[in-house]
Amino acid sequence: MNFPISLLQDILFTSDKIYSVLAVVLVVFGAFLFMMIRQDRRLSQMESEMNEKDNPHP
Amino acid sequence: MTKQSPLRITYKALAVALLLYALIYGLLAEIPVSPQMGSQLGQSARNLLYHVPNWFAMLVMMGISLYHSIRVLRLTDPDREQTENPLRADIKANESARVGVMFNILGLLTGIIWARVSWNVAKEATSFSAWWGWDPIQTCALIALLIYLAYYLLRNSIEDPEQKAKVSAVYNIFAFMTLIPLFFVIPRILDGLHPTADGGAVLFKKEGMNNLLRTILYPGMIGFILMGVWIYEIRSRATTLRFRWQEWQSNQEYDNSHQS
Repeated sequence: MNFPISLLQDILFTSDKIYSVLAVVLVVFGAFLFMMIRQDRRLSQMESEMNEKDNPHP
Repeated sequence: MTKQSPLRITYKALAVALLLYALIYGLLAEIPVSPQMGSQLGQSARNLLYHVPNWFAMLVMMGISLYHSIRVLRLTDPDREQTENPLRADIKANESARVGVMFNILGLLTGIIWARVSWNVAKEATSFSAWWGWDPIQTCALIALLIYLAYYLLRNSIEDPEQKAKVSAVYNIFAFMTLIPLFFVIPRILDGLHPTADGGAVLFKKEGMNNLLRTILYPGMIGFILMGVWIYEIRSRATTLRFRWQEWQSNQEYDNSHQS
């Protein structure tokens, strides 16, 4: 069976490679979360700067 | 820095916790090979836990988009008092539909790979039918994707922001209405390759699925939906901020020109 199906078959139909799959998935998910949290914090900072611009303190 | 409300922090933490649970437990739990699941699925049955939640997350995101599109039409109604700029509601409708499209694409991709290794394993990888079987649900999901891609074509073809908001809100309402026959009616009428129980989807039927899979699938679904809401929140906040910045700049230019 040709690549990438052979690889998919190997991963999806046997259980011994599941830890490698889990490691890859968790690294990708961790990187995604890091990006989301950083973006969220940056947005909060920019929003407060914008609020300051819209309603400047006397 | 603007402090986030406890509700916002809670839903984000819940999204992360539920997704971690679904990822770790879903990949490590002993998958039962029940008569319903079919022994030919093997370890690929785990894909159910990551393929199905995409569709629920997509429906929720399209629902949020529908809600904001209705708000756009209410806010642009001349007989009503304008409590908010309709363009801000349009930003939310647009961004939530975008996240919905992302889930639709993810659902199609996970479905294509799963179909290849379970339904069409005997076929040559180079043949188109090895990847795409024109199953009714699969085809309806593709039609839904095309309908929402047309929403973006429509948006990009109109320059006036208010007209763009109004026309795309009307289109979005119709687009959402098409999801009902595409996902809930046609797959029940036509026979296909997707597993069914009593003529309906197996997910919520007692005899349809193993209880262990349920304990992973349902929390995972909530996790996917909450993560979708988080992505949508970030995207709409970023676009709203850009909009506010442009408003502020034009106000500054107006003030400066009037002072001089």
